[in-house]
Amino acid sequence: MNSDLYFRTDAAGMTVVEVSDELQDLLGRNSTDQVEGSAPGAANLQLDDHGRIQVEEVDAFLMHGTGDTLCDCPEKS
Amino acid sequence: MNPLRLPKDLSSTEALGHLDRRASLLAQNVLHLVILPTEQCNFRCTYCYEDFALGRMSEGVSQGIRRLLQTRAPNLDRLTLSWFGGEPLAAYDRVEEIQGFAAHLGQSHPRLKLRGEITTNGYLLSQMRFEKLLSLGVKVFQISLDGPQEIHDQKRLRADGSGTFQRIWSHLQAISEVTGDFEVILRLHVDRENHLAMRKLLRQIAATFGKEPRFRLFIRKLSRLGGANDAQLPVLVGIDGEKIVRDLRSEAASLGLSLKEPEKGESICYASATNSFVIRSNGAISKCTVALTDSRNLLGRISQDGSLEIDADKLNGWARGLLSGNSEELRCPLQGLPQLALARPVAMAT
Repeated sequence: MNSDLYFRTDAAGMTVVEVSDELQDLLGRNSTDQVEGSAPGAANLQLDDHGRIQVEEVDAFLMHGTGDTLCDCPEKS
Repeated sequence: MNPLRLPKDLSSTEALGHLDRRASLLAQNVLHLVILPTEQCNFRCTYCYEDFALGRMSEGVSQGIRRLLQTRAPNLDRLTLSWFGGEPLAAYDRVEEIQGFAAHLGQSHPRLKLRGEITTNGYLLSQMRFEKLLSLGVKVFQISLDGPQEIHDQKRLRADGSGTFQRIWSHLQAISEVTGDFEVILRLHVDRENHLAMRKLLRQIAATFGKEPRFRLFIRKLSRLGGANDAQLPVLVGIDGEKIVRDLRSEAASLGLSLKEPEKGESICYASATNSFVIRSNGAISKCTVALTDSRNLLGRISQDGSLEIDADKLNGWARGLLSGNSEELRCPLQGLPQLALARPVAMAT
């Protein structure tokens, strides 16, 4: 698993993306990077001031429920 | 670890690029709950993988879900409630209670788009219940038929051993008379024993519902999903099995039946999304609706006040495909799910 990025959830079940010091240094800790707002070059990814992700357009294909995905459960090996 | 600060250029790290492409699966303005209002079932299908150990959802768990929805609603754009079980309609009042609450929230928050769907055996789905659920926003109903009556009744039988086809069929006929926007997915499990008889069922469906575009067929091979009878299941294997399913789909299409096609593009399981949770009847939080007894799939609990407590290490295992971009990990994160160093059975309250 990726050790530089880590997901956790707050009490309301919202995802917070955390990053290791090493990766944040690589990304540029003291540049014009932002913890809030969208990143230049990012199509969808935006963060609020708590590091939670927000999307402008919900991708209809990506967000479906059991009616779609349970149909595709592969056999357990 | 610190909250992520976005870089100027996401291409500086591959994982962030993957996250960007699938941001809806992490977004806080999207929530998907698979709710099991009871894990008891009035059926004992021969291939079922569930153990029926848990009972009906308590008032405290139901209240917790409603409080969670109330907390999240102001910032939600999309809320999907997927009803599952057990047989969810065996706890119909819980379904109506929570779905009704969500529908009310949808009226109070016009930005919120509610989608409801239910996987039910159809036995308890009277026309009155169907119309009520439809009015509350349940738009997709998935119901299984495993052959014409004489075959179906051997595979999808009641707990007392009696058949179920006739009653399900009469409910489907009544539902087809209902006006409104909905989708009934007829799920047909094909195996070595029933594939020839399936043609008879297809003709029966065509004769009765052939002009009903809201009824769609999902034809798939029977799978071994961990049930007690797995070793004896007459599953189709190899390319012959693929051909049988393909031929049945072709026949259904030639009869004018509407088919549910496999998703185009990459298939991503809801268990890969960090904004999708399974809430079990005892308030336990899971990710996958198949591996219900796997300790890796018991991530936490919802409290009566609506707060969620979730094991982040386990969550990261299920969501690893979001960072790797690996299509197999996204399609079924259960396969290859890392073992946890301290994995141990989680005590489950009943």
